[in-house]
Amino acid sequence: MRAEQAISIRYFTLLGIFVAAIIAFTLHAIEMPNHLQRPEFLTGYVMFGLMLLVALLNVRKKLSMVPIGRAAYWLAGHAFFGVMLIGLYFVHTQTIWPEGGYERAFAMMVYLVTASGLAGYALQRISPRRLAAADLEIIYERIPAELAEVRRKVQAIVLESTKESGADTLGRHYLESLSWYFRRPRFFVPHLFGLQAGQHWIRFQVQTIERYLSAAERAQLTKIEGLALYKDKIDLHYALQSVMKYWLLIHVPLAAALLALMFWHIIAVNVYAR
Amino acid sequence: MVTATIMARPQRWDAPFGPEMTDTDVERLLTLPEIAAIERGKFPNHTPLVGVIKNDSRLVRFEAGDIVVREGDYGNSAFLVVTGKLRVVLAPKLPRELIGRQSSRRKGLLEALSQIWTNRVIPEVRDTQRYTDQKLRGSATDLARSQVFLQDVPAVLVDHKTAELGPGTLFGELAALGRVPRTATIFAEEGAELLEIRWQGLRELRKYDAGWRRKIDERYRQNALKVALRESPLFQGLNETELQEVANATLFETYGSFDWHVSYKRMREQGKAEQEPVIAREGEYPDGVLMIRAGFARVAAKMGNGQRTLTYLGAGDTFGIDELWAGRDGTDVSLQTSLIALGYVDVLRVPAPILEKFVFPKMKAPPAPLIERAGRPLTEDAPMEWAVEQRFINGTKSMLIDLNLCVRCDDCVRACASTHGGNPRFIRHGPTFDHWMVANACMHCADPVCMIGCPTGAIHRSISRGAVVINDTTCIGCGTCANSCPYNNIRLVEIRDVGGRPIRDPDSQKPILKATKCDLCETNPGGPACVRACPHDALRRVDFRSGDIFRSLG
Amino acid sequence: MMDPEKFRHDSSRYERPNLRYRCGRGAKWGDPCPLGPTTKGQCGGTSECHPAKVGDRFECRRPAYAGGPCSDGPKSDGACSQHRPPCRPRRTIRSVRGILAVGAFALVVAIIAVFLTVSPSSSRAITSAGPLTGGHANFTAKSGCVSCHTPHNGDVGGWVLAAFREDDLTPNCLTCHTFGGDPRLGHNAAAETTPRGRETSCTECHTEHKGESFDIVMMPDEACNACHKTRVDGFSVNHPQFGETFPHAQRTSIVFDHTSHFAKHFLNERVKDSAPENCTTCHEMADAVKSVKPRNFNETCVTCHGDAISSRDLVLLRLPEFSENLLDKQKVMGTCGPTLDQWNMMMEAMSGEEGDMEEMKSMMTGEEEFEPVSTEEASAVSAYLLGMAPDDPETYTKPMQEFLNRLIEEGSAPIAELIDQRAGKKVSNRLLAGLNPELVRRVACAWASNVEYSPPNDPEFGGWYGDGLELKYRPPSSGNHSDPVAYEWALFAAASQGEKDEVLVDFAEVMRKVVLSRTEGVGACTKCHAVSDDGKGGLEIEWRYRETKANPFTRFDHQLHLTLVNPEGVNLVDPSAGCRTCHTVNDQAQYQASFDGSDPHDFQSNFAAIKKETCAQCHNRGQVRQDCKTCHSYHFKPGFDLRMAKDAK
Repeated sequence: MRAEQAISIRYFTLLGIFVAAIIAFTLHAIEMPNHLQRPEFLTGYVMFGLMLLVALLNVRKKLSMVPIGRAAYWLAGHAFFGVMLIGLYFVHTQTIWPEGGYERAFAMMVYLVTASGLAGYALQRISPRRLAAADLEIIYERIPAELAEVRRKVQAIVLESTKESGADTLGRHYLESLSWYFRRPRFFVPHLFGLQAGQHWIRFQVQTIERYLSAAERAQLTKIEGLALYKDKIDLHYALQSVMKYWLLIHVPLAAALLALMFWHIIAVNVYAR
Repeated sequence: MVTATIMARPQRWDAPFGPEMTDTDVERLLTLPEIAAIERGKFPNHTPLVGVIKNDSRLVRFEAGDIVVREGDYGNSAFLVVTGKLRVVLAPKLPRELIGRQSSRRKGLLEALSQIWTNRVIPEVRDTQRYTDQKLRGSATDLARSQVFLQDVPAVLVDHKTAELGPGTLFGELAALGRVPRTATIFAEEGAELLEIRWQGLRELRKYDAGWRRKIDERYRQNALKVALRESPLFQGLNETELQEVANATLFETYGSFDWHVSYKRMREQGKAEQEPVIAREGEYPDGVLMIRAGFARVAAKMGNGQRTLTYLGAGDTFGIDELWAGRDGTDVSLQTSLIALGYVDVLRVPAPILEKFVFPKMKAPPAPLIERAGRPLTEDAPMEWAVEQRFINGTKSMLIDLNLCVRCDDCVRACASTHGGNPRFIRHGPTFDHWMVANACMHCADPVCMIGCPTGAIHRSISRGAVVINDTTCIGCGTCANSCPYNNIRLVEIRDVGGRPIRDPDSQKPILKATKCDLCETNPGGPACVRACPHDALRRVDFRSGDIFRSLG
Repeated sequence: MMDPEKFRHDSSRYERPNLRYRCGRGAKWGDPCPLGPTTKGQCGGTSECHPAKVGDRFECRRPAYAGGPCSDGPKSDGACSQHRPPCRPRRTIRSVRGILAVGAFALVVAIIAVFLTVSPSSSRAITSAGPLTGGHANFTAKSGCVSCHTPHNGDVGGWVLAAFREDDLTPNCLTCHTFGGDPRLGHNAAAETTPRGRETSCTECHTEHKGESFDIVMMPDEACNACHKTRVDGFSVNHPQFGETFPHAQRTSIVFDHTSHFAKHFLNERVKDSAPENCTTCHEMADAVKSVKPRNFNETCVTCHGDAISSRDLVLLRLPEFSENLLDKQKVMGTCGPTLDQWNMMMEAMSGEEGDMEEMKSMMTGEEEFEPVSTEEASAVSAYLLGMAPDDPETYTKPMQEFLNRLIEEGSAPIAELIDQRAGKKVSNRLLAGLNPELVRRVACAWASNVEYSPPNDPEFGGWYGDGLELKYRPPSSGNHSDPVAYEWALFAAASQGEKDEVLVDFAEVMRKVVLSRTEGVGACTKCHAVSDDGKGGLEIEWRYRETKANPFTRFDHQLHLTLVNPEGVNLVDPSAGCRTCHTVNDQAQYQASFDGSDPHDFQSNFAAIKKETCAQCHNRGQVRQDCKTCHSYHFKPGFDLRMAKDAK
């Protein structure tokens, strides 16, 4: 670990220098109007550079085969410089809501990308712990197969129980209520918020049907309940992992649009405002 | 009627080492001087000598140029030359390509970068042109017999200094008994017939026959013991003669099973804990210091109904020195902890008088005794206890994922794929404990059981960086390594051609398989790409022996 | 925890996260097939294996992870017997993300392109940084962007070039906006106010496109501090102290000693009743802005100083002491006639004794000793005109007597001649207006005859008169305080500052000292009118009230301050005490002495300088505004050319 610490120190020194440079630069940019100089071009181009750096994270993620720095540091830099860009943005625009059609669209995009980025970052710090606490690990792409297997098992148990006992109680209950649950991941929103609606529902189902079952059937019901609770954990994984993947579907396309607008802004500003 | 209880013959004899061995062969072998010298009477009834020879050995024939053993291979059998002439390559060592190894050339930065457009979407594409250069003899179906051979024996003889091994030579017993890689490459100069004895048979021979024991032990003492002793910090200050005396007095002991991985897997599947032989018991009085030569053992203290692991020891570590030091003035100090074998352990015992004579005078007081670790809270050591139980302590580069940080994004898998032509070499699943997961990625074990038995030498330890790698070109897809790995880290894949069609063996039309596993990104600049790629620093390649690895980074 | 069986190497495959498609059945939460879609996005599980021909039979080659060889085996024609209807593979999230990102980028580019090409107004929407301020928006509506910006010829090439070229908007601003000075220099003023080489442009301080109600002329203090080295953060904070004589940059044009007047003169019994009660009696407050002008002489000073003008005379000529008499007595007598004494003597001689005849003869022949009747010096004016030192009889006797000779014969003409010579132009008619040549003759005759001239009567209403040894002018007292002749003589004296002749320069100075003397000058003009350097090396007499030449960029409006009440409780508009809040009389000032010299900037004011602290009582943080623009302006006489706006409409 000592080598890691050495690298860590080097990176933090570099980052510290970068930070100091940006702070010094920002102060200078704030000073510039005092000398009748327009800081917008300077702050704008610095923001342009930082934006490219920030956007390079996407490229970096595809380039893990060459040693150009750990992705963890790139991500930290991405978040950090993203936040600095917020500050620089306000220094640059001197307003919360600019005039001008495309500038307003640009500002809107900035806010959306920032908000989505911050929300996503928060998500990615909170969700893993919740997933680890579920005491189950499953790869996202395997969830359909796993659910299919659980479904098959439950159906087998129901069939077996029906064959053994001759009663169709479980079967009917399965068709009426349980099959809905096992068809696909459920209770998406409660799982997002850490609510236990799934477990509550399972308990309710069990309590509903229990009184109509024989002892043997109850044993089968217990097995089904076990599988249902297992599936509830899968549902939690599905919910949290989905969100951890889907938020990027907001952040990345918006960022792409932002980049397009940024390039246009630079062009327009150089043609008309110089 | 007294029915003598006949102990069941060894179960392994149900699957004899050489099924074609006939009694005639056995008879013939019994006439060999080395075997004839064995006292049959010493062997117990359930493992008679003929049984050992018939079931624990086999006759193998080699043609001129065939490689018998490769330097660096792990093996589990010894060889006795019956007829023919063999050559052992002394210096310089044979080029690694000749013995089936791959040259682990590291790609340059630009070449590594170019992978971004050369990587394929179709899984497991191979350029079959490479394979035609293979010197494979035998068909793919007769896997056990496929060998790699030297094409130009005279040239080898000219370029390399060799020694002749004639009939009656015994070699390979160190690797078989001691988990030491083969130290040299041996090939047949002309047609030869060898008696290959698997380690179980060798063990029986050494156990019951004094002559073989002496021969084997002396060989070990001559060749390997002093090296092992010298590597230990305990004997650093000794000069040559003192070291020789120590070597002479050292005893060898073996605990556990050589094939521990097989039984371990079986035990795990059945849900049973593996039998862990106790080497030294807490409360007993030590009569010498135990030095682990190979394998793993754990130091445990009694805790309730179980044994709490305080730490584990590997090759080179010592046990009992604290108590012996405390008792060097004559008082008897009993062991405060037990030493329990994990899987398989080779132990050297250096008697206490030897220590008192040669070692203690020059030694400083040892650091804090291990028992002090027992004061730590149980929860702190729980992950370590789990790792020991899972035998992850074998790994030097285990993939440890902190589930509290991992966002399940699979960037690590993608990075692994990007350095292997689009094919990932591990799966992000595996046993979990608390918030730790040890993923299904090759751990590059200190005791690489996967390397035992590879017919072509495709799986080997890379010289440069010590990773265990599989040479894709020479691998014949037999699956020995995949089945051996106790952690399921090696996978066989169907290879395809550039069009995406599975490549099939022309004879059997069965798809050609190749064994694949993590190679620590040997051929890639910058080391393992998975570690680099994790955006939250959740993934690490850890050596379970080094320090406090279960601290969270996040 | 996951079933460890699922980790086995023969029952789990590598997961490939780079796949672009996933099984459609799985996407619909059905039963996903283990084979997965092809890399091209088609269902890969329609058949479960590719049967292999071994010998003449087909064998099932279903992979281990999919269940191993199936029990049915392939069909006889070699096709797989396990068929499944194909699924519609769906794109993975990552693949969708990539498409969305590229799509978003392309969409934005497309929208921009569309906006640029559809119409000018949409083009403006995509390029403009915001609406113009109200005034500018009106007149540019029709002509569009080119009202201010350099056009780029509508073609792409010009547009691209525009990106690399700086656009100077200032000439376009100047089509409507005018200034009192160079619009490209600091404060639009002379070059001295702007650091060398630094030209300004309108857009340096004024930004447009900030919305309709944006205040385009609002300027923060920092804009001023950008150039001014003495940084001012706020008036009360660190504005430099006002000048030592603030608000007066130079002495007044009219000498009015407030101290002496209020302390002494106004208290005089004779004038007490007509003395002004307070400041506003003389100073007109009604429309005063920066300066509060005193009323006209005729409304104020005339009460006491109405007839001051006739109190002092100009001595044109004076009979000096001659060292000898060079005049031809007989000629003099012939031209002028005898003097009374001479007449008496002649009468006596003709009728009388010899002695008298002798006396007369000697008188006539000039044998008797010359006793000059005058012991005076020549007048400064004559000294200058004749170019002779007035105090040295040896030098001036001859030219003076020659001059007298001429005067006897020609009257005032020689004087006029000389005056015109000295002045360089014909001014003598004005300077000698009202001078009867006959008077000159008679005076000259008297002096030539070595007697004093006795006028017929006293000049009661002023004008030219001779008296004894002097030919003088007294400005008539008519109640109004201007006299044309005295005026002209003052001008003449002031103009003599430009005398170039070496000899005459000194005499000119002497003459100036006399004529323009504050205590003796003709008409007492210069008692109240200052004689100052005119800035070009000459002198000028300040006849009119001159407003303080103050800084054109500093404003002060008295009217705004009149409603205030000062710390003593006095309302500022109260003329008796209000003015004193800021304007306090300085008794110790050497006011009168300021007018001894001709440098108007070397002076002491009647009033103590107004200190910054006085203003800062209200203009400080938290009270009245104290930014630069409170008192200062940047532009010099900013104006607006309405024709341009009208045309544009």
